[in-house]
Amino acid sequence: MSRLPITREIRIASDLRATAFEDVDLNLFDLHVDNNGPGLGVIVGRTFRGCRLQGPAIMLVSMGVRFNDCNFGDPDGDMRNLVLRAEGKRALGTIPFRDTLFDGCEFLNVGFTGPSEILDQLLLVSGTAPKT
Amino acid sequence: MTDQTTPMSAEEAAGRALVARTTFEKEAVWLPMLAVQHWNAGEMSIKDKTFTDCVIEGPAVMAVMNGTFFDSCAMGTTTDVKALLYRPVSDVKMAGVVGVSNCRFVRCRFVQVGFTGSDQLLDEMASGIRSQASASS
Repeated sequence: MSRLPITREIRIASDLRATAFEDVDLNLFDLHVDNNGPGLGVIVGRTFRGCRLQGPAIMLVSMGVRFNDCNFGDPDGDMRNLVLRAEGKRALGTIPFRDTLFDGCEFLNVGFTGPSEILDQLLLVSGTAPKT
Repeated sequence: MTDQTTPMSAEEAAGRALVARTTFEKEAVWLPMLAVQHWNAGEMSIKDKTFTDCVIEGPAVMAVMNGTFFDSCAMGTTTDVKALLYRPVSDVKMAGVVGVSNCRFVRCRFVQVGFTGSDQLLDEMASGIRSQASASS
């Protein structure tokens, strides 16, 4: 699990349209608006390494999104606290990602949603069984 | 002897003034930023406010908590209301959502905003957007 040092200074990402981010802090809602305009599109083909990504936001984890050595935030002892299941086939109000790598990143005030098979994998991170 | 406190920046003072407001009328409200301003002021949810004829913008998922009413609102542009709804996996805590309690939304339009809350709330919303109904926590 990622362990960014607590003493690490805040470094705000300067170019939110970049394809690769390293060792910077980002607000997910700023990233969404800057890349797509409110209400449109998916964030595709990005790499985040050693970044802090802040909400409030619900990330829609879609195809090709990989998490490597990430800290998903404070689950308060139960990964289910970070997961919401979409009731419909679409997921409005979320920030959708596709084909993106998160490597050694930390998430703050971020929840996760997506297809059941992806959420079930996320729920296994801390050993919690998927709730049916 | 007490330490002297650092004066607030203009930006921080504007944020606190926003948090202190109880009414919003004919305004565009960016929900994620309103939530962040509340957090910066030490309040973990948006509460005790009335929004009238406002556009409430996301991207955000609102956790509808006790005492929140929707009166004649357009909840979102979708053919399937379920696309706006999220069911928590946990019944203890939710991360990433914007908590809203004791708020009234009158003739507001929601853009890129999803909703979550109790099973009762979600069932009511799924069966036809509820109006004038209080949400249970």
